[in-house]
Amino acid sequence: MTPAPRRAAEVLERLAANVADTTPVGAQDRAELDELLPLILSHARQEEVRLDDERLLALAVHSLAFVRRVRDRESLPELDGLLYEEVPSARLTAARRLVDAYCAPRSFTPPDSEVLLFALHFEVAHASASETH
Amino acid sequence: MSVKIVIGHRLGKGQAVADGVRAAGAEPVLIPGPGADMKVGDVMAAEGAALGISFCGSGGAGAVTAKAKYGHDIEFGMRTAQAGVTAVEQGRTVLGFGFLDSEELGYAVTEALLRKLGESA
Repeated sequence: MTPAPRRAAEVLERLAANVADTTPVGAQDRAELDELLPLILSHARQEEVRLDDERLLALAVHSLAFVRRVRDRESLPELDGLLYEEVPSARLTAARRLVDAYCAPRSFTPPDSEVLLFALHFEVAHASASETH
Repeated sequence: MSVKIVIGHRLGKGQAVADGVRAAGAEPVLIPGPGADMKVGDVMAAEGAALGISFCGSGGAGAVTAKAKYGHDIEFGMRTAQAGVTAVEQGRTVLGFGFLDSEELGYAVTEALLRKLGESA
C-alpha cells in the first residue's frame, strides 16, 4: 500500500493537473491541502473506509473548495435537516472531528453543512465497499 | 434519437432539473441515490449522453472525476443557470454546480445545448 504522505502528495498533483485550466491550485492552496489531505487519509484509516483513487480525487476537489471557504470565512448555507439522517450519528461525529482538526488551529468553527458534506463522501465510500462485498 | 442529459446530485435530488430538461425537449437521465454526482461520467458513457450535470456542495467533485476518467471538457463551481448556459456555449460537456435543484437551470442549459447541437449539425 502507498504510504499516506506519498499518497496525499500524489492526489494533490492529480488534483492540480485536473483543475489547472479551471481553478488553478495556488501556493497557499497547496500548503493548506498538505495539511488537510493527510488528515483525511488518517480519518479514512480510523474509520476503516477504503478510498480508491477516484473517491480520493473527488475528496481532493471538495477539499480545495473547502480550504478556500475556510480561508475566506465563507459559510455554506444550512442543508435540509433530513439529510443528516443519511449518515449514522457516530460517523457525523467523526467527520466533525476531522473538520475541526483542520479548522481549530485557524480559529474557525465551520457549520454542520460542511461536516455533512465531508461525511457524505465517506458514506459513498462505505456504500461502494458494501456493494463490492 | 433524443438528446440525453445525465443528472447526478450528491444528495440524491435533481428532480426539478430533470423536469426542466424534459420541458426543454431533451431526455433526462436522473441517477438515483446519495453520491449520484460521482457517477455522472460513468452513466454518460453508458447512455451515450451529450451532457452531464453534477451537483455537490463544492460544485466540482463529479465533474473533475468525469474529466479524469473520461476526458470530458468541464466547468465547475457554478452557482447560476446563466453560468451553465455559457459553459455549454463554450463546448463543455460536464457541468458542476453547487446545490441548485431548479427547473429553470435544467431548461436553460438544455435549450443552450440543443441550440449548440443544431448549429453543429
